[in-house]
Amino acid sequence: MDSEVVLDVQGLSRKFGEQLAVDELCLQVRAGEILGLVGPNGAGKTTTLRSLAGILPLQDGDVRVAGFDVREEELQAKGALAWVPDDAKPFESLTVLEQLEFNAHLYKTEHWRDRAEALLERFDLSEKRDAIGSELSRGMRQKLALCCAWIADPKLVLMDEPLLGLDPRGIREARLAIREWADSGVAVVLSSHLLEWIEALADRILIMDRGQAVFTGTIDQARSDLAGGSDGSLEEIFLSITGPGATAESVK
Amino acid sequence: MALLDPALVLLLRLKRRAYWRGFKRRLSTKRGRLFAFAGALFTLLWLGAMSLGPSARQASADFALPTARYILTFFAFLSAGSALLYRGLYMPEDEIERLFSAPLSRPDLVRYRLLTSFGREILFAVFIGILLARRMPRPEFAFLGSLLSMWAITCGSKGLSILVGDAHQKGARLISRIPRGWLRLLVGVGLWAVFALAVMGIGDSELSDAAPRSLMSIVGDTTWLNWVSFPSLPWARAISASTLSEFLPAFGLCLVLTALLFEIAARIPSDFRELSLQTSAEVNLKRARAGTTSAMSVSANRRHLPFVLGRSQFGSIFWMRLTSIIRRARGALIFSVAITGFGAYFISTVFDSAHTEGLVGLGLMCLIYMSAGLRFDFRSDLDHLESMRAWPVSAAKVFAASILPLVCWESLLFWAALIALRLAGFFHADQMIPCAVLFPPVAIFWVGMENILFLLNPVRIEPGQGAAMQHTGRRLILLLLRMALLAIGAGLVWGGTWVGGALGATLGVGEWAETWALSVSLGVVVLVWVGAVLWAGGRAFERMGIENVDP
Repeated sequence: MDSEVVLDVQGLSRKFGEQLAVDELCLQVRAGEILGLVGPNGAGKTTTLRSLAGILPLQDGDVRVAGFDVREEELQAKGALAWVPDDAKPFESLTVLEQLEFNAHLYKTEHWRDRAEALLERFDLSEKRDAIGSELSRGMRQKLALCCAWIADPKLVLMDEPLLGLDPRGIREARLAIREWADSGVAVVLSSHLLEWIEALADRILIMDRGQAVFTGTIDQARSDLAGGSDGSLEEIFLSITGPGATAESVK
Repeated sequence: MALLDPALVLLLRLKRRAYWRGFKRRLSTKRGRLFAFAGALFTLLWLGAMSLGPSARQASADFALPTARYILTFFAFLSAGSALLYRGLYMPEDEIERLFSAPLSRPDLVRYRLLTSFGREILFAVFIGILLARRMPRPEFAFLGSLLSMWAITCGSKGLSILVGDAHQKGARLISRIPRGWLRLLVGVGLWAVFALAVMGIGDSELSDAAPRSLMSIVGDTTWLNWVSFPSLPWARAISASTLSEFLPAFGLCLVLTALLFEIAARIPSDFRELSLQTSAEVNLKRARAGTTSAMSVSANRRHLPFVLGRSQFGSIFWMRLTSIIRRARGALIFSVAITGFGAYFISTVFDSAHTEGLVGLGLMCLIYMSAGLRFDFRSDLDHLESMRAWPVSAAKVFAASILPLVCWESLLFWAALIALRLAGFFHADQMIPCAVLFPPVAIFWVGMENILFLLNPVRIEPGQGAAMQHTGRRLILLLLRMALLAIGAGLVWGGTWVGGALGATLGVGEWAETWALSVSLGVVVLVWVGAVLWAGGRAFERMGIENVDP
């Protein structure tokens, strides 16, 4: 792929006290590409995404978003990315439409109302436009988080388990939307434990275990490199290279 | 250059709109209107009594300045204590990730939080303003000056939080070693003392003419106190001004200084994100548990408590709750011990040793303060209430087992205070024993009523002192209801005793008939009241729904 590199991560490391959560992580995501981030619980996926989103300060390593250095040009970098957390918490007292209005202003999106209406329609939230944040179910909160991400017109979207709580229709709609957005040139980093979903959607995968990247490449590369060329599913590959007995070194 | 990012200005505007929308929604229900009316009435009566009450006396000009100066210094220290507890910049959970990942500068985030803090603290600032206004030469100057000084203290405190957080992140050992539990205790006791002085009216004599004179005779000429209180001098001058020509320059200077503090706090070069995430998570945890508990320490986690009431369903629920309290709320427990000690000491200094009023006062303090402040019951389990209802246990049993640990704790503290006072030579055994015996059932009634109302109309309670100004309407209604029921109970006991005495006189069996009638009617009333509360609590637990939790 020759498209522009939207996310460039070099040597990202993150410690909490003495605990190393992310260790020398390197990755690149290009415009229009979907990177699936998978790994067992505690692998460091959420910490990685929160560091990339600027929620956690960077400790070690360099991160560039849309060409902006996250350390030196933090606001420009943040202006180019959107963050969808695993447990979206909308403002409790604002209505759904007000949440979108605020996000549109936050990211200086023009003509936000038409865009908001289209997103609400797409994610089946039109009837909930006047509901306040605390009245939304988990699934609706997650749909609203997706709408908030996309109203910002980002170049990069970081998603941490975005499907939690969504109904089948919502999952399908989210999948179609993510594909469409990627096709329009948005880079997506998607973390999920739903491996079938990642397999169907991601252009490349990054498998993390105990803070380290143990594999980066396409699913087909994973099959040829890690499963001996068999037609094993991502789940089988994942189980074979993570967990007890597997080490980053042995996989590499 | 704009003071604040336009998006944050919009957020402030939307939040203000949301506040009024929520208020209107509450007013759209009968229950909401009742609580709102009662709350407004209570607040008006309280503030009115404070500002217009006959006991309001103004300090003479000589003592106004030092009084204002010391009071402001006191608040500044309390606020600094809180700043040491909540390091970094606290942000609510629905804002933190959104705003931290957004293209917003850190100074803008601090400005935004300061402005929201001003809004949230306005009621407290008005309260302090009125408190000071009635003791200063010109109430209107004192009121304006104290409002501004409260905001200045907020700016200073937020700035200190960020600075301390920054030092902590950079590994300053001294900061890390500050024992936060004791600090919390100190701040809590200090704030409680302020409220006690204001609400109980002791402040009238303590804070006006007499006390400052005696206070200053002890410490007023001490250089260290003057140095310590020196930064509060400009605001104290505005508060204590007696003429417009004194007030205007002082107030103008305070405006400039407050604006400077605001901007300095915003511009402190610190990356507070990580510590803010920790602080916010801690506060959110407390919020979920009605402000009673904080994160559990690893050492506390290892202790296994015995099933003191056996392994029955009732005993298991009691054990679960007791374990949660002891593992997660040790700070609150220590705090309640300190408050009881403070109350017992206060009673020993104010009341004559032979007067039962002191005992009743101590009992009421244990009941009112601890039932409202400790919340080791359904109120700390709002998010688990629905799953608790799936337990295969009768609702009344769940209710009784859930409120019992708090009742036991209050009773233990009350008894301990009684014993301490008795050892110090206060009260007689014949005064103490009935009080000691009656306290637990009254506590069941008191705590039970609190929980019944909570289950019928669940609310999320803010952690810390934020809860003090919350839901005043429902508190007033609850207080009136409890008092009315206690009065009916007392009436029934009195009636029973009178009938017993009359019968005794008719039958000629002597005075013991009256004593027996008193004991029997008291026993019956207590049993009926406790039984009724447990039954009603069970019913409330059965029909409770958390879908309409008042925010």
